[in-house]
Amino acid sequence: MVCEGLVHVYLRGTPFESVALRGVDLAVRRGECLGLVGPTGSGKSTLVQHFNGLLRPTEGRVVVDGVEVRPGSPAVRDVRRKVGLLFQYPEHQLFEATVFDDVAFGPRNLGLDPEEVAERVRESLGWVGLDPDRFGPRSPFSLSGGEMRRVAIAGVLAMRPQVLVLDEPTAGLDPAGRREILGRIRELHRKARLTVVLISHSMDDVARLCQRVVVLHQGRVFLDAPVREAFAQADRLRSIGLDVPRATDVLLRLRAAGLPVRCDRLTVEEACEEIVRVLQGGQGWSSSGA
Amino acid sequence: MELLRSLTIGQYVPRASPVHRLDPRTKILATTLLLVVVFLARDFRGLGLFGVFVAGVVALSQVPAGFVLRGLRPVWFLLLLTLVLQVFFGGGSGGTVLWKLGPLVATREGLVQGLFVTARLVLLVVSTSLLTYTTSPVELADGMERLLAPFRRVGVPAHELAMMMTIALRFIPTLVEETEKIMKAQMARGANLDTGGPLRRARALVPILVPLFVSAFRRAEELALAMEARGYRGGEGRTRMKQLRYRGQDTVAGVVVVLASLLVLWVGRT
Amino acid sequence: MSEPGALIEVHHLTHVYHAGTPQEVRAVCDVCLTVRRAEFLALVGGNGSGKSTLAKHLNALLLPTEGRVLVDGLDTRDPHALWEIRRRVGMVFQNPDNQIVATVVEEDVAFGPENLGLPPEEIRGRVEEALRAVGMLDCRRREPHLLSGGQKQRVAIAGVLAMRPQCLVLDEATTMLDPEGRREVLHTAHRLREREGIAVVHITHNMEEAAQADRVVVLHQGRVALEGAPGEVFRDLRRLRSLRLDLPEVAELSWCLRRRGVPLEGSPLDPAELASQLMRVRGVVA
Repeated sequence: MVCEGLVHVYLRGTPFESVALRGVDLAVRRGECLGLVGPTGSGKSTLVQHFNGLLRPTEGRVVVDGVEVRPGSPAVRDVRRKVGLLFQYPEHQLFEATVFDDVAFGPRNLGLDPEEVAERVRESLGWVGLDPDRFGPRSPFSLSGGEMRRVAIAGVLAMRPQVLVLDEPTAGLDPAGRREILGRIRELHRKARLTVVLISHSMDDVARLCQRVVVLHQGRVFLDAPVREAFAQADRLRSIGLDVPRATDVLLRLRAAGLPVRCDRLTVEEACEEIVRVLQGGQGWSSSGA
Repeated sequence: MELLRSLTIGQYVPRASPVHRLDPRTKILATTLLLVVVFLARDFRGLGLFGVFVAGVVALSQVPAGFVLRGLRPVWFLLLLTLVLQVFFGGGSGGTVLWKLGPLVATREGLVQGLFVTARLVLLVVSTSLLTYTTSPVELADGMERLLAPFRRVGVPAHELAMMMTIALRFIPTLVEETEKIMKAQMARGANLDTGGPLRRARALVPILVPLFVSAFRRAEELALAMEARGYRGGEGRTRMKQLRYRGQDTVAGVVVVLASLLVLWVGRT
Repeated sequence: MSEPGALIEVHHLTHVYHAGTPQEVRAVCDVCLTVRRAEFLALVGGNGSGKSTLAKHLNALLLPTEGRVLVDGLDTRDPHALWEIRRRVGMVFQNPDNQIVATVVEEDVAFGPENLGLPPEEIRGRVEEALRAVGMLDCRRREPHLLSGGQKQRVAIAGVLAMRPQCLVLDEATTMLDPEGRREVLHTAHRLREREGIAVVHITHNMEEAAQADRVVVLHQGRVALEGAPGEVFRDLRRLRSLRLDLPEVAELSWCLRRRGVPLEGSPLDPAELASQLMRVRGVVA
């Protein structure tokens, strides 16, 4: 997927006019997991709605799989099949009487025949860890919040997209719920080989899952780099109101105090290893305590 | 879809005109009186005077005339229909024939009658629009509540009605935003909202309306809880921070409107 | 029986929803809890832990199935005390939109005092005072749907403040906000506690926020599982994971390091603290 010189202006010509994107150039490679971060209002949601033709660029163009995306043309349906977009709090879009029917909404809109639809529904529910036989006939509104969200995700997966765009998939979930969803996203990325674009406010989540990070600021690309390089630039990130993963923060402080730690360690496990390595680089430590 | 967002409610046009500054109760009562008068005016002279008066108020309110005329757009069909019906059927029997269209006969009397009725309709629409152009929805709700308050003794739930109106107004932009979000989410799943015949399109609304209703009910529950947490228990014993006060300009406006009405009626009497 | 300095006392509280039906659910089970005056208490728990149910008992939105809840000496089951209790304990809810009633910010803040039947002049004064305390005075005439999530929650807090409460309950009030909004709300809450001496009960499942409280109470399946200062509660990763929670990142790192034998004192929750402790350890080695 490629964006070239993408500009988007909301409500142009009215007193409410606002420029959301000011010339964004971005390429998403097949099979990668890309993190999209930025302060609120930086244009992340606007950007991803161009990927599946929900918004028309004011200037510039979006190309998916070699084909330019033109909202309003029949070709857009094809793009929406390839690029699955999951909004924030997706459980708010559930509407059918049964879980089965809701997940089937997507495939049915694609005009598939009933056997194929049923097959996809079963598979998608399996991907999100919901037993199709137990959950299929239940009303989506009788489920817990976390379960409803998984049904919504299954609904998008049933379209068999090649790209999965997730806008804050862990919003509002408790720590256990967040771990679960992120685990499934990782699986989808690795096993099903989906290209994933993850919008998140949590630097820790992005550090754990993504290979590349794009930072948006005021409608422009502020930073576009592999994940370790990106988070090594703590000062630049902090200047626009973002932060680095906390584990990295500790490492940066240790480095500033003179300890020769590498600062491109992003997760707790990595940071722990690194600190231990450096501390032991002496010879172990006194076990009587500091 | 962005059109939804740029909708302004009630077509309120904020200006700092003397008309805007009037107490909403004055404006509501005045409009009611004017509506009665417009129906009592008997001929073109009365109606003409009325028209002059209304034009004067429009000028005073600083609302652009173009705006007011555009407000007639939703009813242009009704106006045309009324005119046509009156032209062909309004003259009574034995009028001066202007032309024939098969079995339909257009008479001069019908034409005159048609123009009269149409003019009356136009003035009707403009008068009521003036109210909403110069009074914000919140003021309207307040004004209605105060006016209806004395009728509480005979069972009119003035406070509850006003509360319902304010809450509805407060949530309209929020609900519009949510509708947009739901529509986008369903479109991302391949829903087609803009093609197909009327039946298809109606069915395509189900994935939008169901979540919207579910969420609206949830909002209502949460809002009720929040209101209770802040001590709400109905209108009894409640005071208001904003006080509506009649001032000198309201008396002047009231007198002017009454005089104008009397003039219109007197002219039409002869 | 009453603790001195206790503002809210919860005695053996049990709450059962739909009692006697097949959908019966025991949300809260024999919970004892005290909220002290001017303390910042974090009430944490995963989904289904009963924390929201417990919260609604603090201002008598729910009544106990068993047990008692006392607010400043008033029993929540006493129908005559109801409105006074709700004045003393104010609550801000999770969804920033679904608690704003009026079309203009200052009118919404006036909603509470209007319900109390106060004279208009007094209401005006309180509205201004409350908006200033949350830093939203220059937004007083704005329409709520144009505000950000953090701003809306601050307006909600102002609406509670205008009733001059002794305790502010934030029922997952930061859960739906972005990091900036969360910072705004917490900063406001901490400041109110310091300046006005208002107790704050912050209900959340965000571990970083809970780590900033004076005291943490962890709920799991309707019971109190852990209680104490943040440093005490956030020690054992596996214990917290079993409660559907997590450790704040820095505490997790501390845990990891301690498991590898690094001698750390307590459980540092703050990056600066952890860094300085590690430097001391290094100093010992070198």
